[in-house]
Amino acid sequence: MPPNDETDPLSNIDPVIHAPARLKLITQLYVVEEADATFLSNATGLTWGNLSTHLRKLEEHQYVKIDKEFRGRKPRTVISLTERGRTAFQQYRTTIQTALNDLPN
Amino acid sequence: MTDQDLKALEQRTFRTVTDDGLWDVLIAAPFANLAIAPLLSEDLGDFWSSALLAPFWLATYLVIRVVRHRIIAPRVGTVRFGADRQQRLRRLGIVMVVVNVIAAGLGVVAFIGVQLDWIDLGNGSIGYPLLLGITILIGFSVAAAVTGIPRYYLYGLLLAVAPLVGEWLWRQGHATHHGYPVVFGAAAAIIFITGMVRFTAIVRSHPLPHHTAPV
Repeated sequence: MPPNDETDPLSNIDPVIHAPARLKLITQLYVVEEADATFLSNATGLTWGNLSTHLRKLEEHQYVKIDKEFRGRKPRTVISLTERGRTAFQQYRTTIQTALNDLPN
Repeated sequence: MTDQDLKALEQRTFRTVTDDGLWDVLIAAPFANLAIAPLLSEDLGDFWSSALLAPFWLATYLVIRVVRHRIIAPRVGTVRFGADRQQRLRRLGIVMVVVNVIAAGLGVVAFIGVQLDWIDLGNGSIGYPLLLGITILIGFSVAAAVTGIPRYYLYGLLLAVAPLVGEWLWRQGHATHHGYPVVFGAAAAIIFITGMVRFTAIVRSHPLPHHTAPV
């Protein structure tokens, strides 16, 4: 998590979530219970390579849970947001909203 | 990123994974049966020509399940939705059961009524087709509202007007069997073709991934 500076809301923005590709992924996962890698790749427009990199980063921070399972004989990767990831996203939304509201018109 | 935006994203996600055109095919099936059954009734009798609906619809449903599993899921991906969406879908299921029971009940009442001379569909009012039309319209409107797929409203209107137009055609002497083969046949064809166009577009725009997921 980034250092917490009460005076500057922008410094509280979570850099793990703030990257556009990861923000897309985490937002998509926030509105569902779980999704497979194929769906996430289609929904975010990320290639397999990019998807893998960003999901690993989110997994490192325990924001997502990645499960490998078999449907018939085909492997399937299912991704879901953890409680920690959900909370981090909610916090991110609040921080961004506060930061934007604080901007002068 | 407001709550409204997230709700819209959830709705869009739901449409992406469910609106594959195959529901349209499933919707078209019973109405195709309504068109065909009257034509078969002379050979099979009213009961058996109508009873064909169940295996016909079941076969369509099974084929659609296989197609969705083998063709759509590997291309579009799969999603499990949250509790709120699942609850809304359960409610939709209940409404659909009620609507189908009412529609089937109307059919049974009409069948028995004609047999026992309670109902004269020959010169009677348009009450029966009107009631059937309203029931269909309610069912499709609820489905459109819950799924967020606006063309279901159009299907509702199309199918609600069908029995009235059929009745009119029949009274004018332009169609047999209360016009059912013509109007429900046309409506089922329109819905089926719409579904197939949507299905083809989705298959074309979502090629199979070359590799399995890397993560």
